[in-house]
Amino acid sequence: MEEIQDFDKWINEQTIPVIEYYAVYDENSGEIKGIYPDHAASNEIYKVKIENSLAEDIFSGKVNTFFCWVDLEEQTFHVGESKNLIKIDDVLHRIIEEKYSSQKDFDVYLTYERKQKKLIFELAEKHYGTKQNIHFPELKKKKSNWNGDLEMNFYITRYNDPNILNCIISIKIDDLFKNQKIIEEIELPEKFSVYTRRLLKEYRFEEI
Amino acid sequence: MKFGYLIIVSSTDNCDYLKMAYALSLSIKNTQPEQFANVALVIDDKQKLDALTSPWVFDKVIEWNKESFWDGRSWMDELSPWENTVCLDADMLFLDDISHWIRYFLKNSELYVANNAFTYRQELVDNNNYYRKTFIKNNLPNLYSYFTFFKKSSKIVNRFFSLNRYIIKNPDEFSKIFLSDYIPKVLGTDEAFALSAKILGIEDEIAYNLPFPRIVHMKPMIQNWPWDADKVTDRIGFYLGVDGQLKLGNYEQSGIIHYVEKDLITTEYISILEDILWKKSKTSING
Repeated sequence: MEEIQDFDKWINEQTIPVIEYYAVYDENSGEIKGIYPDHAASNEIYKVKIENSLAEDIFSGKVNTFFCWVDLEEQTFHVGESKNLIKIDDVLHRIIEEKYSSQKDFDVYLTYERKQKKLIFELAEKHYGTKQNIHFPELKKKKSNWNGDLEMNFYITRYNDPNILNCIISIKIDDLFKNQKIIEEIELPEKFSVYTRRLLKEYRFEEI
Repeated sequence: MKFGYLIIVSSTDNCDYLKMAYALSLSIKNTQPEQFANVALVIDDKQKLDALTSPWVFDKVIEWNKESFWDGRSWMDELSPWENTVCLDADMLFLDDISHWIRYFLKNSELYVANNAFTYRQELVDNNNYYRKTFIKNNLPNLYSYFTFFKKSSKIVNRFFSLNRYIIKNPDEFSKIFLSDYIPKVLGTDEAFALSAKILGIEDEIAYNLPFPRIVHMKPMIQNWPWDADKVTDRIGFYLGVDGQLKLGNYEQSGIIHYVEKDLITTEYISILEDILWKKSKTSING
């Protein structure tokens, strides 16, 4: 005869399994392939655990994995942009001067030398670029996750107004490994802004 | 002094109202002719102004801590050092010379309260909107206290603000009696102004239809968008240019803007407004 289990006892003994989420990524580029609950990612080798709230934001569309990557050295998940694509600023990031930024550790540096009419693009030393961070000179170098042919586009616009475009400058990320990229004979207005689609996390602009 | 603006700021942990008042005062100095650019600030502690680069943009600073948060605004008639005053909310910016509006009020009004608002696309905001249920259901005049002109010596002004102070001190009693068709969670300054005007029967005297003041109100649910929004800047960009001109999205703004979002004024924007003022001051000294 079948034994009938005491329902109250059974329900009290039940524990709701805690689901953890993992980002599965490309082992060479750090590009995100997908976000999975732990049971679905159990066979994956290249994965990092992410916060449940972040996973929920990704599933609800608040965070787009197109703008996320995994730092292969540190095995950490990074979010570049976390907004929906509604307005220009959700696609283009305005590069502000360091004095207005709360950051001290940047990935990409732009310097405009007005007298020499030079616009200089540099990658931080930590990414095998040429710009040393004076605040953190001992930063550990990071393995590059990027395809060298990847283009970084910089939009020079009226100051704080992406609606009025002055010119576009395209640079291959390869050009910045161990090199500066200098745009010569570029005469820019007294005040202007630079916007870019954020491929790396922190950008800094300075005029000298 | 014949005319000046008045900004009453409150101390809270969440918002830097002094910073907003500073930006507003800079924008007034940048855009208004000298005789219409006097600004008085009411603050609980004068020493807080030491943090500002150019505290002299406030022509008068009144230290006052009798009331907390926005209740202080019902004392504007007593606090103002000016004979004729426009009291403003701190989270506003002046974008153009609006002194012709002031000339009109000086000549024609004792008390005038703004009674309309505009979207960032310059559409007139429908009074029957998401934020104005208390006004519609209780048949209150649609007043916006963010721009209030008054003559200090006027009897009507004295009666209006005396009643207003009484309402602010006794919100539950007044809500139960006069706002029974829709009781607001908080009886704010706009509601108290409207109630004072209605009880005194002076709605038509203090809030008649004019083509000004023209104030762009950045509350998100009145922008005539087909979608909901928590903040206007979730949907469109806020771009303050080097000349102090402002674009919302790709719409150039004019008049006065009430930006609502308390964290919009960054150190960079303050620096832009300061630069304009310093250049203007230098020109007037040299010129």
